[in-house]
Amino acid sequence: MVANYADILERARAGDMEAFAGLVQQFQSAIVSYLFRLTGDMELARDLGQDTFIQAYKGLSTTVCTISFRAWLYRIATNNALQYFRRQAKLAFVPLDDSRPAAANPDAAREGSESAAVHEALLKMPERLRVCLVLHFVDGFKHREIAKMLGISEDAVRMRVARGCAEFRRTYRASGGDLP
Amino acid sequence: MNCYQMKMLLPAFENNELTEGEREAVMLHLASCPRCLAALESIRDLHNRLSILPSTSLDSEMTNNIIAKIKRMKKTGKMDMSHEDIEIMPAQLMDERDAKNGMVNDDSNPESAPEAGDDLLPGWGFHRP
Repeated sequence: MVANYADILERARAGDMEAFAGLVQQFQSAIVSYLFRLTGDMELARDLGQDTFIQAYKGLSTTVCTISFRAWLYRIATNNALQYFRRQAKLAFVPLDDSRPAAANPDAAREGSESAAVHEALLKMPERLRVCLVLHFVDGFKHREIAKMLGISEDAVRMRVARGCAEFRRTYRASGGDLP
Repeated sequence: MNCYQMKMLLPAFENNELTEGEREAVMLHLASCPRCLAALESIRDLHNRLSILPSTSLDSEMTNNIIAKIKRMKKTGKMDMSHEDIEIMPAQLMDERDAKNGMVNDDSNPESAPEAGDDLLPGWGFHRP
């Protein structure tokens, strides 16, 4: 299975479109889900996901991998999301809090949807803390992997995850969430 | 080990990522510090809450769209890295610019504010041949 995957990756790197389609099929749900968790907007997540795979195709043949293909895709997806947030911040002439992405259903927290309330709190957090929390707690990357992926130190990742935990609790409580 | 150091290690402890030595030090501290023990419980609670976030399952439509778009771009000669692509995957450019500006990503200081340009990740993690 591993050899098969390596073979598919190698074929895709050589320009085999069918092989690349196989990689897209394998990773698209994870990447779009990740982008949805970061942005709170499914249509936007699909668009950014599509950009991510097209950029991956462009870069695949001219680069030598030092991290896993999965981690590399997450890295491109993260940069796409961060660039989107930066553009939104530049465009918005409204207070920062209002420029942050809204959850798919802002009333969901009050309607008792635990998952939506958690997502809403997550979306109110600073982007770089949000990225580290999602990569670590949801997508299951280890601090070491996140550090390599984001090009920062492992200590920096530990710091962001720890600060993210505290920030999430503060935000979740502020939006009426119940925490022990 | 003090409580501040513990705060940095607890998420990795919860995820079984620490070295044996770090793990022993954390367990020793937890045995005598109810506050850090409570912090560990809250991290476990956070982990559980975040893990219920829904995942999306996509069919082959998105794959087909992506492949069709790539084929169109290849036909029209638009497969070169655009300026936008380079911004997303900045390779050496971002590192050199940051070095010139003397920008330091100081996450060791909890009070440090994000630097300009710090929100885009430097480099790909790939080396160009």
